[in-house]
Amino acid sequence: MPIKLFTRIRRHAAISTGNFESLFRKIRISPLPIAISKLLEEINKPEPDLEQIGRLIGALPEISTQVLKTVNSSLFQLRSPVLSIQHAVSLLGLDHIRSITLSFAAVKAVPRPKDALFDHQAFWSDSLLRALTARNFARSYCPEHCDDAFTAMLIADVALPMLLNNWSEYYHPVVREWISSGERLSTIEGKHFGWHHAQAGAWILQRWNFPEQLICFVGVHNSNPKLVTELELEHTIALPLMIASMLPSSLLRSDTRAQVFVDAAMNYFSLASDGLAALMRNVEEGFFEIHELMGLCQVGEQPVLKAVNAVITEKDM
Amino acid sequence: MKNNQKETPCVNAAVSGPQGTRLFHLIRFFSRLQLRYLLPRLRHPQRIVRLFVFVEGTLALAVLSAAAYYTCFPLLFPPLGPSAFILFRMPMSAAAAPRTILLSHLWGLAAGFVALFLGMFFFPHQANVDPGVVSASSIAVLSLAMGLSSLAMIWLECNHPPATATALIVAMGYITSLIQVIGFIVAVVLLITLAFLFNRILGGLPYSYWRHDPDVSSHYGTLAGITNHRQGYWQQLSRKMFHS
Repeated sequence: MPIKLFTRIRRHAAISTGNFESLFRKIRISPLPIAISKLLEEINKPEPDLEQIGRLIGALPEISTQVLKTVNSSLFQLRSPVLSIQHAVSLLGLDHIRSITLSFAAVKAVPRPKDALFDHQAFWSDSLLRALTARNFARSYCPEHCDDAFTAMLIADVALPMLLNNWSEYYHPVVREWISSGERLSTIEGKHFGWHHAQAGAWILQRWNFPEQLICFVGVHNSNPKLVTELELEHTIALPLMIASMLPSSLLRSDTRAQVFVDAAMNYFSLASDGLAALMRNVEEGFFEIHELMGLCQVGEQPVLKAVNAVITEKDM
Repeated sequence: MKNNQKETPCVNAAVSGPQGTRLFHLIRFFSRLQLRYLLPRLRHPQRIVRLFVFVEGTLALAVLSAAAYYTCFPLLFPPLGPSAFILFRMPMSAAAAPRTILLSHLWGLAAGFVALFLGMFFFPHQANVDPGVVSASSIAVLSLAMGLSSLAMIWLECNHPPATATALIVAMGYITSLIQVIGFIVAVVLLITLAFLFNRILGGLPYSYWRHDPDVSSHYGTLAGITNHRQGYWQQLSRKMFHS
């Protein structure tokens, strides 16, 4: 009994103070493959060896296949197909390839919880849609970092499966409230715990030795424009991430959320409704081309995109 | 889920689950007063560190002194003061790890006794000189005690400067009986136990169980004895991400 009480006190203390060290102590955060860790080590060096990076990516057959498929998709609109990582690096530059590689490596390391409230298909569909949306926003806003936007958004919710799996008694009420209230998940998390999953995700990425910039962007992805300005991140991919994270979830078909997303996108990126519609078509195209790389099964029309397109059409009229 | 129901009644009807219970609210209140929680969130974190060092240092020595008074057991020795300071000012540093403190003081004792006995062997006529009186033999004995204790600490990777003071007080002849030796070891163990309780409960810090963990302590700045840790913009910003 005293041990049970002590354990409960420790768990309450960890969750109420956002002590991620304690929160994730007993959770086996799968280590990244050695080749990925070596790749991160090389990337984080002040003067990385480009040839070595190319070689390290090439040494990961599954990930390099995913990278090549992504590079050959309509996302990059290349005239001739790319057949090797070295070719991709020389065509697109190392930054793009590094970013895509990291995103697939992280996705691979995220566990698949057996929790009833976790829908694998919906989770990764939503993440991919948001990642592609963030990338498309970033292409016009800060084009040189558009693939960082894709990576950061794809892995922004990396903490959610781990929290749902291991802290379910605390997290179930949060998810239930999110489903019933329609409020943003981070708002509800803040109300319950005083911290949110973006911070937990940033902590996990730090454990994986991801680049500091990417950690920061994941940490602020669900913040507000005021904080982005306060942190002097207004000319970075923080804004595309913030707006993309406003996309409604496929689990919650909320027209209000779609409306909020469309208004924010048009306002912050000065987009007309036809411009936003074209951007969302790009997102949809990209989604159908690369969704299978995330282990997602055959998907039809995405309800999220349908809701967003309906709002855009309404605006047009 | 059954356990959660036992914890009710719920204090906040809007929040269900364990986070809606009285116990959770109570724990949250006290946990948010801990040094680990306050440090990154305060505008002047040094103020809370000063208060923490003052309260914990005072409490630790008060407990040690009270234990010595009530048990009539020799538990008060000068090297414990600087040890207590390191334990509460830099609890996350290698010098404050339980292994470091215990081993360094034990080696300090051993070095002091070795030097003292060698002195008695080579300078038998000065064996009865009062402790603290400087003589030709004491120069050799004290120097040797200092050298031996430093060597042992470096060799065993347990660098804790106050342990050299332990070697010196032994070499100067202030610790002569077995009771004093036992008292000293008990006092060191008691100090480590108090540091463990205070740093973990009041501080909320992941104070090590035995050996220092550089990965954990690297995030604690001056609490880990890291004073000139230069961080770039993104590094500083990424640290901020973990604190709401």
